Amino acid sequence: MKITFMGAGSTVFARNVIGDAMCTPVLRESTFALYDIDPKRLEDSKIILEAINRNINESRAKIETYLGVENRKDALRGASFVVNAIQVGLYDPCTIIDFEVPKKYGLRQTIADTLGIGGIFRALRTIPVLEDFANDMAEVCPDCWFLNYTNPMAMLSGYMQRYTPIKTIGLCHSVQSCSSGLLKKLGMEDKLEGRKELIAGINHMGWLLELRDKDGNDLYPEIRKRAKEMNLTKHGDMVRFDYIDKFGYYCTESSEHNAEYNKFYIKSKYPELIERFNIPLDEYPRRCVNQIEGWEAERNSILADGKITHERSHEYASYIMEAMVTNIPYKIGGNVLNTGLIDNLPKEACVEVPCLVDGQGITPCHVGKLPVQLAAMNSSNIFPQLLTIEAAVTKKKEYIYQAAMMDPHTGSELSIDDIISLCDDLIEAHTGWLPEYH
Amino acid sequence: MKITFMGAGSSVFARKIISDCMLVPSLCESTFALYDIDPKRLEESKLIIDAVNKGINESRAKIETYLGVEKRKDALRGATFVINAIQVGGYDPCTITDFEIPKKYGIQQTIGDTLGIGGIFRALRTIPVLEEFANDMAEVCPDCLFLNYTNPMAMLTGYMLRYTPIKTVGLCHSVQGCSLAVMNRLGLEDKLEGRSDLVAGINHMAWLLDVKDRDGNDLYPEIKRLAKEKNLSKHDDMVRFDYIDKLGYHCTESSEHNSEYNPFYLKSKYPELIEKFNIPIDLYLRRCVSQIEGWDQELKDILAEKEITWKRSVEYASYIMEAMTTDVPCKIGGNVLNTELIDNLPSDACVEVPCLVDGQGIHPCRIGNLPLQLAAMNCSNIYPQLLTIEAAVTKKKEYIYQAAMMDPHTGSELSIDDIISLCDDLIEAHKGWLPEYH
Repeated sequence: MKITFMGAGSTVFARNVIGDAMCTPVLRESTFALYDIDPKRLEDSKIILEAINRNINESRAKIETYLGVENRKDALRGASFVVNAIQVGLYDPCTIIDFEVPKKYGLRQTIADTLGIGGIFRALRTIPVLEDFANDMAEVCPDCWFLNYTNPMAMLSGYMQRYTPIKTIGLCHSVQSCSSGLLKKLGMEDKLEGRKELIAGINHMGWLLELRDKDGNDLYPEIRKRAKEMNLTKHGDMVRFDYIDKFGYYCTESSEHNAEYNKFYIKSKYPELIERFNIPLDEYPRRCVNQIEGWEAERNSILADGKITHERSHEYASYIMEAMVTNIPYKIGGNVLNTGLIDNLPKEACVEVPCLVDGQGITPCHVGKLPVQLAAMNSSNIFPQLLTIEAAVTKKKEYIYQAAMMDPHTGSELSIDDIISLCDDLIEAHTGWLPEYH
Repeated sequence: MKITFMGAGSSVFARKIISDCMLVPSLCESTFALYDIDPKRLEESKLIIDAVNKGINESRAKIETYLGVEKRKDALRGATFVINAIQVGGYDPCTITDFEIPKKYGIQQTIGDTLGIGGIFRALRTIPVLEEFANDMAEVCPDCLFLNYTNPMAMLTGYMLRYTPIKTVGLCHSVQGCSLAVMNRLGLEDKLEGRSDLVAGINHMAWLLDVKDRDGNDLYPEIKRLAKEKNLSKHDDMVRFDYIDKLGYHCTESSEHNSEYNPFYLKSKYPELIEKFNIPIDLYLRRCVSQIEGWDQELKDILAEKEITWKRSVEYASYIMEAMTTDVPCKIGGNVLNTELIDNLPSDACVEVPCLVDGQGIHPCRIGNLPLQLAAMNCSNIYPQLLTIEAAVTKKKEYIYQAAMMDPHTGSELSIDDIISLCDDLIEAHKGWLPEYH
């Protein structure tokens, strides 16, 4: 069996997913095709994965590398699974542009990889690359499953699901850690064991709709009480705890992410909210810089004593591949097209819902209606996502403008004229990374 | 046949609808039951309508008056059609409250009867009255058709459709005037005759999706060109013409209305937009005052008319009643529950779509998908509407807060704390007009 990893130069992440597969009996003898366009990072990944293969897998796996666009089809040929973790345009120059140009208009961001003006442009430069991937896959591995880890999740997975023939699932680890993170923060560790939960919504704003302890008791009344108390003093998850207070529910992604998915927290008219909700503006660029600066040291320490090892992580990819190969059912939170799954969200939306995985593939579960205030929050994110996909598919500028106008944060902060001018500036600044728009 | 008019003290409007009926053979001999809680206005309406009955209808109709809540059931008993034009709380005090309190928080409004903080509170004080009407109707005229003209249209009609057993359609005259207005304004009067149009969306923001001249030529390219040109200098429909430019479509309600249905034009951070788009802040207040001040003279003038004549108006009510009594079909733009009519709007939404009316009642027509950017605009209005209905039905304050948070204008301008405080102030100020919220 062949498993191809696109963007394998994301060394830490490739190590997680492929290391996981090496810990899985039905996957560990696979051929792993590593694809990237950066020779140095691809080589790093190969060295590390070969070490793991030796140390924990008796070198049963075969590891191949494929460098550059001209080798892409070979990387994909015959793959059963394609794991995607590419980042188009990287921190420098694209992420820097995504943050710095909006700043000139007074528009501040925290992460900018999901929604907002940054998320929109990240999708616009990534979708054309996915289109190339999809064309290759349709030719050389038409029946593969495409496991997308790249953000903006809903825009990219939604594009693949609606505009390509490739079977696609979008994956994130925020579902797995949602309730455990919350319970730990609130000092309710004793409720972790045996808990049951339901999470549904959209990626990064999937709602913890229900949480029960091992005896079936609803944990939300206690959570609401404690979260409200905890938000009286400063901590690192204040926006999401405010969601619990104002909307009644907790959600999957962090407060630094959710601060920019709505019009309530980053408001130039209320600058004091940044301090009050402890919102780390420009957080993502700082993380990028740290990661880039720390990578050499991390790489050297990984390889220093030759004893590099791996334990299976909670990333869904290896579990999905295992369930499909063995036909033993597994449950995931996956990003799929809203084929009647969440009744009060648009059908074109890419939603994050529980899915059954087995030998038949991925079968999403019907959730029904979200509480109306949660559907309202999700919808305000879904329309900019859909308009961004529309822009990428049609190459019409007006859809970029409309996506930014409908984005809750951008549309609330800026006038239409400023939004259009900002979009034009970004199109200009990203020249070479975007196709021609008209 | 009995036709009951709720809020018959709206003399000008009651005269219009009932005079229309008197021109229709199948309706002109009906009994018209006029209901109001204001004795003076009810009496004035009776005088006017009696005069019309005599002047144009050989007094064939029977006009009855019913004053006050204790007579309401009698007014409704056995009615085939019930027309609703009530205004709960009047200009003074309720409309004044709806404008003045938000102003303290820096929220400026133009009309405040449809959406926004004013529209939300107008619905909250009206829905409990409609609930009482519905209970009475279920008892004394359970098979009647309720023709709602009261705003906020989508919230009130949506409430009736979802939470009462009474057959209801919501009616407005903005559909009839939609293509007419834009063509008149753009000097396209020669294209009026024989044109056909398709209008769908939500009340006050229904989209002119298609408009063709008598030969089937698409008029939009010309409309788009002329509208853009016209917006270079000041006029009084600039917001809607900006919609044409930015969103690609014209919509039903005026610019003064639409300036407060989105986050784009009334922005405290961009005060110059008020001037640029010629937005008449507080317009509805001024209209109320001039109507109240002018009423006595208008009444005198009406009653002094020597020869009463009447030309049937464009209001849908008499056409609907005629079609239902004669089984000769007519087409209206009606507000109905979104029973798979517009695919990309929520199924709980009250949508405005073409409907066929005949002896079987009102049959809404299926539209399919709206252009994405238009669905986005509608959805941003639909969620505050649904949350307001939820508040009225559950009496939970949190839904009022959430409705205001999700309102595109309010949520964009204010912080969550200010929104909650504003809602609390309005609940307090409207004491006596609202039920107890908890």
